[in-house]
Formats: sequence, structure tokens, C-alpha cells
Amino acid sequence: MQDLQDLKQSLKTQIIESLNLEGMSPDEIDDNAPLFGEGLGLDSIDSLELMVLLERNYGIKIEDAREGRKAMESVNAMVQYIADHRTK
Amino acid sequence: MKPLYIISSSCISPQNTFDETVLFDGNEVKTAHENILSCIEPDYKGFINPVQIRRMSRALKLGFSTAIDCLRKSPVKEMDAIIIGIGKGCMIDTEAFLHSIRDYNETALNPTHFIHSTYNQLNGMIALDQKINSYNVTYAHRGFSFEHTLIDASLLIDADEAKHVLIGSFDEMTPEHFFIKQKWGYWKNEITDSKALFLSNSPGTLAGEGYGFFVLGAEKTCADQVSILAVQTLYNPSDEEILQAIQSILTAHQLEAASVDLLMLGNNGDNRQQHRDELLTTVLHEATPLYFKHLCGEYDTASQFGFWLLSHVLKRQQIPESLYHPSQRSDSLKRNQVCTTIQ
Amino acid sequence: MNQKIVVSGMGLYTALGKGLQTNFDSLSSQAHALTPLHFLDTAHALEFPFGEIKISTSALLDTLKLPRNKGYTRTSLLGITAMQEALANAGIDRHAGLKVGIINATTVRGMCEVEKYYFKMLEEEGDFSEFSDTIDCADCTHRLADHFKIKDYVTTISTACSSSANAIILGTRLVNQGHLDIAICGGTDALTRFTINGFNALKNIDKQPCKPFDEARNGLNLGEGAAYLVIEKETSCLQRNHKPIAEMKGYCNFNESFHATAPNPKGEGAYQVMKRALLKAQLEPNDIHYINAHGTATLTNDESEANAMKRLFGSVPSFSSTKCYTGHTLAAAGAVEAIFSILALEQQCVYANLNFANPIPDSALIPQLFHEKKQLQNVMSNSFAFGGNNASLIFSKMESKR
Repeated sequence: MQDLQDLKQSLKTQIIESLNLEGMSPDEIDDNAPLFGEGLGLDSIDSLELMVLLERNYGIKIEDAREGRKAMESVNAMVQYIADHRTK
Repeated sequence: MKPLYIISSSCISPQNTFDETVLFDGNEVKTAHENILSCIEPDYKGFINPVQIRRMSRALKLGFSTAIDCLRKSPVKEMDAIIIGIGKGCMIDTEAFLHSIRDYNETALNPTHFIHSTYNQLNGMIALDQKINSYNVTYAHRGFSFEHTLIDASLLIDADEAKHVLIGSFDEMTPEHFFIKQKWGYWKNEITDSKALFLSNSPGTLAGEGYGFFVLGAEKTCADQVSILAVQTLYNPSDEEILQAIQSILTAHQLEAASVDLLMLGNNGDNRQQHRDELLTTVLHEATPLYFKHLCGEYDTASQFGFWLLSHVLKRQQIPESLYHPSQRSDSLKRNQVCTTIQ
Repeated sequence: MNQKIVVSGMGLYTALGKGLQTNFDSLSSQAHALTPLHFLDTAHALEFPFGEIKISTSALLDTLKLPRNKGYTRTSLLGITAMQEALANAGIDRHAGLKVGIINATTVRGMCEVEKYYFKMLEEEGDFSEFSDTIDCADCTHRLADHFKIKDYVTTISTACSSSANAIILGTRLVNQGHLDIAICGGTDALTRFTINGFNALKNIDKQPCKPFDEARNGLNLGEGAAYLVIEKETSCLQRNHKPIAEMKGYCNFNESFHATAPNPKGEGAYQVMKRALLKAQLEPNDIHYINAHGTATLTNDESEANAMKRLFGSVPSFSSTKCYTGHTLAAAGAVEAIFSILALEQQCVYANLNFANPIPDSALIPQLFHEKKQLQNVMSNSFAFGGNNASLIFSKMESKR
């Protein structure tokens, strides 16, 4: 469980860095809020940037954009997806 | 062509031009640092919101801010067209994407640099932010990219297809691009002070960059408005063709060569390219030659900076000391007539 | 349009082959040209199908009898080959006394060569100056102008995937407003590692041949090509004793300002640009008999374009995307597809949209599925791009003179 907490924390930092969310702190990202549209207000290019993050940091390659959207619904969804699919 | 009236303008350059008064009121001239003149960045907060800014590179931030500033200064907000000229495009994004292709062996690449390397990005960003659903085009034609925005605006206004047009141009200088062009002899070998550029008598020039936007209108909105009466580009012209073109522009506007007061020269201090200046100063013999490339450096769309300067000189009827050749004395501007910029 | 503007010559070079006849033959036999890459060195060569022109850059040089080591990029060479045909087709080998201009379009510029040398330029000794200026778009335009000795008007447009459609629009305006007698308009783009990786980073390249307007479409295929149209007034064309091919009837350039890369899914921008092109042409929606759609086969484009066509036309005329034959040729696509549309007019036929099985549920539009003869009077060609830069062109059959 602690592992998932750590993963969540570092993922949030990586999201902030990768999407250049200047001035935002990890605590400000709600675990369950949608990342796209409402919530953080990210768009389709951000989703591509997040896929790059998943591939580079966790060795997860998402081929299908639709699956990508699902995996990145919220921070919690991403953490679960990473835990299930990571190769590094 | 019908006259194009300059309704508003904004310029970010290596000089303090974002505040239009500085070049005219003070004599403060920024000089090149190691042969590069870099733009003075404004506080972007007033122009770009935090969501937009996080993915924008420096060139897009500078270009976007200039365009928004120009639109804010314009009493007219409804634009019928956005036309932008760029010589090299967003170099920093192009370079970053080339590097990432190599560094990551063509896998897991960030798309943002690629998107921003497309020439029409700024066109799209301005249209999106200002909700300008209209004619929208990007010229990418090296040294004449800016001139083609003027020509296109003129075509639209002549055909009554537009009343107000936002035009602009930009080019950025990056350390890599500077380095590569250095190899090909574009820049001066010796470190050169901007003020001494025209006294250097050596090959090469100073590198520069710049961002400029203008709202052009079909109708005069105030008494002292500066207008563009003619614009023409010549591809690899002979001296004869240059002289013919000048003559035909003058004739079309019932002007004599002697009635031209000012001649803004594109001289960049490279002693391999002085011939055109002699040709122009000979034919427009009464005109006072002015210089601008020591202030902005050399880049594809540098003529836009010269154009911006001239428009303010005419508006204010005042010539900053810094535009004269170092060996010249200042002269007061007598009449308000057509000026020719030659790059 | 104040005066009748016509297309008096065309030329192109795509993966389907060199020249009008070869391209038309492939289209009418429903034979696409999407294959793994042979001539470009990239990690993705075998991963995706491409519309690659099956000739090496050095063979292109030889065919054109041009020297090596003089900075001719693949982009320029494809352009020269296509423009050669366009000028011959228009019968203007000699253009003395006429004001002739080039309006060229490109997005990849000389990147096809620059990407091979870029790090050598940065890291190694030697000047590599052969390709010094090819990093910009104007390089290939200057090559074309110099090769064909054209200098009255020379410019370059770069609005991503609508670039050459916008070049055709500008050429038409320059001719209509009397600034040029003849405008040669079009575009050229070679395949590059840069663009392949760019579109791959956007995750919109299909590993299979693309399926425009299909429910299961999964992205585009990239291609390369060059295409040019010769545009002039009908009076000027007839004065030269040349037979016009088609009338340039209407056009529109319109920015939809929706998103940096994605179109409005409802198709508002596509709707507006087509509607305004019709207005310019003084035609009604039911006057259009064939649409060569932008049809990239990306999820967003086809949804948006289909919605727009449905809204504008109600009962949508025959339409197809020909990107499933050539791949998406980027800056050249607008001119390539304008030529395909005009060939359809000339031959009175419509092209099959390949790889289609099921319609997109929302709009439920079914494209033209077979190549067939059809009476056509007016055709439309769409080009939509990143940044919301949309363009639509309308060409009409020349009225037969009695």
C-alpha cells in the first residue's frame, strides 16, 4: 500500500514537470478528479505528453488512444494502470 | 493598390521597442552580446494566461504577446484576416525535436515540439485566443516573408474582402542556429559593437531576432495616420530592374526621385554587400539614408523592424539619432512622403 | 470572381507514379501505393505503410540531369518534376511577355536532407554548406523559380496540411486582381524522419492502410509528393490558343480557431469553409456532384468532416478521400487532390474510397465505394490543417462552346 502512495506522489511530481504546470504542487492535484476537461483542464496534447511519461518512466506503451484516455482518467486510475502494467 | 493605413503596431526587438517612446526620447541603444542581439522579453503575465503559457516556447510567447499588444492598441477589434510571415519558423522547437529523435531513438517523443515547429502555429494561437474566424495564412519565404504579408493584406483590401487585417512577422535566433550560420560565414569573426557595425569594413554581420505586428485598415481613422502606398518585391533583380521598379512606383504616385525624404537601408555592415546602397542613394539622391540593422541584427524578417521604425519616424516627424550612419549628422525631417525600405 | 479564372495545366508526382495519366490509371483501377519504406532511413520503415515515391534522390537528380552536391533536396526535385509536367501541360514552354509567378507550398522544406546532416553540422568539422539554406521553406521555391526562370512573383506559403490549397487560392486572387497573367500554384513535401516521428508522437499513424470515414479508422498514413496547377484568366488562356481544363469557380480560406491540432468534432470549421466556398462560387449545395474530402482517417478529422458535410449538404453527394491511395502528402495534398478532383471532372468519374466497412455512427455517411462514371458539373476539394487553417476549393467543368 505504501508503495502505491509513493508511486502516486512521484507520479504527481512527474505530471507537473511533464506538463509544465508551473506553480502547482502535488497536493493540489486531486486523486480522483478527472485530469481532462473539467478538473485539471488538460487536453488531447497533454494526454499524449502523459503517454510519453508512461513510456519513458514506466516502460508502458499504450498503442490505442482510447485505452490511453481510460488509463489517464484520474491520478488514481493512472497509479493503478502503472501498477498493473509497468515494465520498469 | 489602395493605401493601407497603419492603425496600431507593436514590436518586440533587442531594443526597448515594446515601450514605443524609448528609442525616440532617450538615446539608450542596446548593443550586441558576442555578436548576437537578443530580444528584450516583456512580462508575459499580462498577455498569456497560465494554461496557455505552459506549452509555449520563447518564440511563441514573444510573438503572441506582440500580437495581443498590437490588437489591444487598436480601436478596431474585429479582424478580417491574420497574415504572418516567418523566415525560419520556431527554430528552438525544430531543434528540440531533431534532438529528441536522436536521443530517444525515434520512440516515445513529446509531440509539443513537433506541433510548434509547424509554421502556422502562431496564426492558430492568435485566432484561437481572439476568436478570429477568418482568412488566415502564413508566409514562409525567407527574406520576403514580411513583405508578402503586406502584399496579401493589400490584395484583400483592394478586393474589398477585408477592412482590417492583422499582419506580423517574427524570427528567433538560437545558439545552435547561430553556431551553424557562423560556420557558413554569416557573422563577423571579430566581436563587434552594434554602434561600430557600419564602420567595421569586414565580412559578416550581427545576428538578431525580432517580433512585430500591425493592424492595417482600409480607411484613415486619424489625421496623422501613416499609410503604405506601394509595396513590391523583386526576385534576384538586376540593377536595371531595381531602378525601373523604383521609377514605376514613383511615377504611379506622381512623385519625383527628389521628393523622397528618407531611405531606410537594409545594410547589415557586411562589406561584401554594399553595392545596393550605392545604387539606391544615387537614384534617391535627396533622401536621407537611415540604418536599422545595428539595432536588431540580421534575420530573415528584419525588414519588419525597419518598417516599424519608419512608421514611427513618420508619425512623430522625428528621427532618433541612432538611425543615422555614425559618420552622418542629423537632419530634420522636412516633408512626409513615401519611403522605400530595401532589404 | 470578376472574371472567369481557369486551370490551364497540371502536373504531379505521387507514390502512385509520375504524371497525370499514371495517377489517374491507379485511381481508376482502385490500386493504392502504400508500402513499407525503402528509401528513407527510419526506425519506423517497416512499422507503417507509406506513400513513398519509389525512386532514390540520386536517381531523381539523374532523371532531371541536375548536378550532385549543389543542394537539391528531395523536396525540390519532386517539385521540379511535377512543375515540368504542369508547364508542358499548360503549353507555356516559352512565356515571353507574360507575367508569370510561382506560389509554392511546403512544410518539411529541406528537412529530408538537413536531418541527415544536422548533427554533423553541429559536431564535426567541415562546412556542410551544400544544404545551408534548405532548412527553410523558401529554398525549394527558389530552386523552382531558378530552374524554370520565373521571377515576376515568387513566394512560399506554409499552413501545414492546407498549404497548397492556400497557394492555389492566392494564385487565383493574384490573377483575378490583375497582378499576374499566369500563376503556377502548388506544393511539394518529401517524406522525412522528422514528420514521421512527429505524427507518430501525435499517435495518429495507422499501422494498416488507412480507412477514411470508417468507424474503425485508426489514423493516417504519410506520403510524399508534389503537384502544381497553372492558373490564368480564360481570356489569356484562349489568347494563347490553349484549351482550359476546368474553371476555378470558388474557394475559401477560413480559420476555425478551435484547437492547436484538433478540429471541432461537430465540424463547425469544415462547415463554414465549405459554405463560404459555395458562396464565392455562387453555387448551391446541391450543385456539387463530388467532394474530394480531406479524409485523413484520423479519429477527429473524419468525424468532424462527415458531420460538416451532412449539415451542409443534407443529402451528401458522392465523396471519397484519396489519401488511402497516396498517403497524406501534407503541403502537397491540397494541390494533389485539386488535380484529382479536376481529373474526375474531366473524365466524368468518381473515385472509390478504399478500406471502408462501416460508417461512423453519428453521421452514418457512406463514401463512394467503387470507381464509377458519373456526370459531374462542379466538384469540391477540402484541405484542413493544424492550427485550424481550413481551405476548400470548387472547380467546374468548362462550358462547351458551340
